[in-house]
Amino acid sequence: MPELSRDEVRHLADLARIDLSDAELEHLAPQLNVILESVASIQGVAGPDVPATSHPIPMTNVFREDVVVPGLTPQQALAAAPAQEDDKFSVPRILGDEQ
Amino acid sequence: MSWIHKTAAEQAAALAAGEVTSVELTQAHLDQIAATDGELHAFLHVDAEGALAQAAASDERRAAGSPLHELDGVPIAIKDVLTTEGLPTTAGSRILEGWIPPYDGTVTTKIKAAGLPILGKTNMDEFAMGSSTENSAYGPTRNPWDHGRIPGGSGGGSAAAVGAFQAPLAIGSDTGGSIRQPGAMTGTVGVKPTYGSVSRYGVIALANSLDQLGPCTRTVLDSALLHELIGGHDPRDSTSVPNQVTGLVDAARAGAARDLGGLKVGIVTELQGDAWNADVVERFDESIALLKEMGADVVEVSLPSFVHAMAAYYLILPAECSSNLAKFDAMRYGRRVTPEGSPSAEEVMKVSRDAGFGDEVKRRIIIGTYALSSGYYDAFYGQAQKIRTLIIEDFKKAFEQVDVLVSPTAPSTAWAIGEKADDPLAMYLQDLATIPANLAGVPGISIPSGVSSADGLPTGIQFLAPVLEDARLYRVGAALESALFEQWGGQITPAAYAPKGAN
Repeated sequence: MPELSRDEVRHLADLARIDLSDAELEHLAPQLNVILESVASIQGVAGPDVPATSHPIPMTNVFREDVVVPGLTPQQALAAAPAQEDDKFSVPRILGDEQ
Repeated sequence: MSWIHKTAAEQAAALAAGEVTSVELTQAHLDQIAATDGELHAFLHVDAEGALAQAAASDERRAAGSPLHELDGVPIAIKDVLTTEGLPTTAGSRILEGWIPPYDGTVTTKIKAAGLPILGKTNMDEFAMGSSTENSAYGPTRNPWDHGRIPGGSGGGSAAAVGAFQAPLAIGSDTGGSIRQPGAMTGTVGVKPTYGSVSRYGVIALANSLDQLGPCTRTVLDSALLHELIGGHDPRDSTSVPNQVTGLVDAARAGAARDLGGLKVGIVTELQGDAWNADVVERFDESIALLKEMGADVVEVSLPSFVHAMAAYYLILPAECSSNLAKFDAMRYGRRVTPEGSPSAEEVMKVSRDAGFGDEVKRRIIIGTYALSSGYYDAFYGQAQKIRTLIIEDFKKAFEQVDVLVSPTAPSTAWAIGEKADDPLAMYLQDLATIPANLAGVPGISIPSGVSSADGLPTGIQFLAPVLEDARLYRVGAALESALFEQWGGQITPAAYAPKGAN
């Protein structure tokens, strides 16, 4: 199986929104390859006739009673916000320079 | 013997008999925490004031003749993965440092409704990722048996707290063994209930299809009492099973009579061999001999797909956690780190997540992102889900032949702090025996099987039962515990924490 290159690990970290430093890449990339090499052993074990399981106890269409219950107040919901304004979460700009 | 050395059932009986008050019990445990936790570090947060107020309220109810539950007034510790309104909840991560949840998880609600004073929140591997509690961003918990050793993980805090008599009861969470393996490492009892039988509402999710809350205690009966309290259907958890959780305390009491006539026990072929240390196997074999003496019919059964369980687990879990942990984006709650200049939300997210997550969390998020990415999905995540099916089928076939399965809980006793800290694969291998139960949703219990003849540290034995047959674990667990206690002259306890005059 192909080894993950440093650039590929950086790309995956970007997709996962983690800003890895060069030192972290140096440290983590070889460890990730050891893990991937180990888990790759399952490739080809189960044939196309084996169904996939996503949940150990299958359930479908789970509903609860459609009744109104109290939710969080705006004050409670905002209590741990890093920044807030006018009863809303305040976030940094969402568009880049080029947009 | 002081109050803290008594079991939860004994403490409850003493409360009912008026021999002690909840304030006295709670203060005794807070004193033990104050005396020992500087070294042990089982707790991330201790709520002495809150616990004593809850204890005083419990005593008032007792005095009025209206306790809420058999365990009303018996103190408890809660793993920091479960939300507690007004008490910090961090899941062992920097990204949640200082977060005070505005709501209670369902299990917290049940504990409060039964009147158990909450002593505090216990330490854990960050987001429950680990087998040693060394991945906690707030520093490791030490093993009460040897402060240079790990207490297991991810719930090392809950297991150590119970083992060191800081609490008679604790809540743990088990995604791949995080209740059972720390039980084995600390000489305590831990139960992973059937998937969906204890609500996950308010649990900071690691892997939704694997996570399950359960009891950490010093005896099988205490686990049964706590398990019945926290179990049951919850409309707030869509994976909650509709069945009632009853009969566990009865099963534990019946098991203590030590009659296992008619019980078929299967030793798992795939959980034996070179990977298992001789000192662990020595104690395991003694327990098997005791089961036979009590009338159990012990056979060997093969579950061939177990050999792929670890690989499947370490794809399914990272896949689910990489998705779950996307919510820690520094926008609504949790740590926000803002780089210089006029950064975008995306840049803030990336810097905050880099600063807020530890190495193991980053490793698993990246592996999960890889396993779910197009081109690799079928080969990794898809394959792992199929292996999950094969493991479930293995369990079904095995349970046509036997009532319960048995294996050592972990391949070795507790290792030295730092020994495997930067070797993720070596750490993952510690979960060989515990992972299959999570993949299949079946319940499991770990109880102490003795102390190793090689290093004097505790060893554990694990039983597994079919889905919703948790009562079988309590019957066989209580029987073996009773036989072992007779051999040992009571529970095994770490020397530094043993009652004065004992051992």
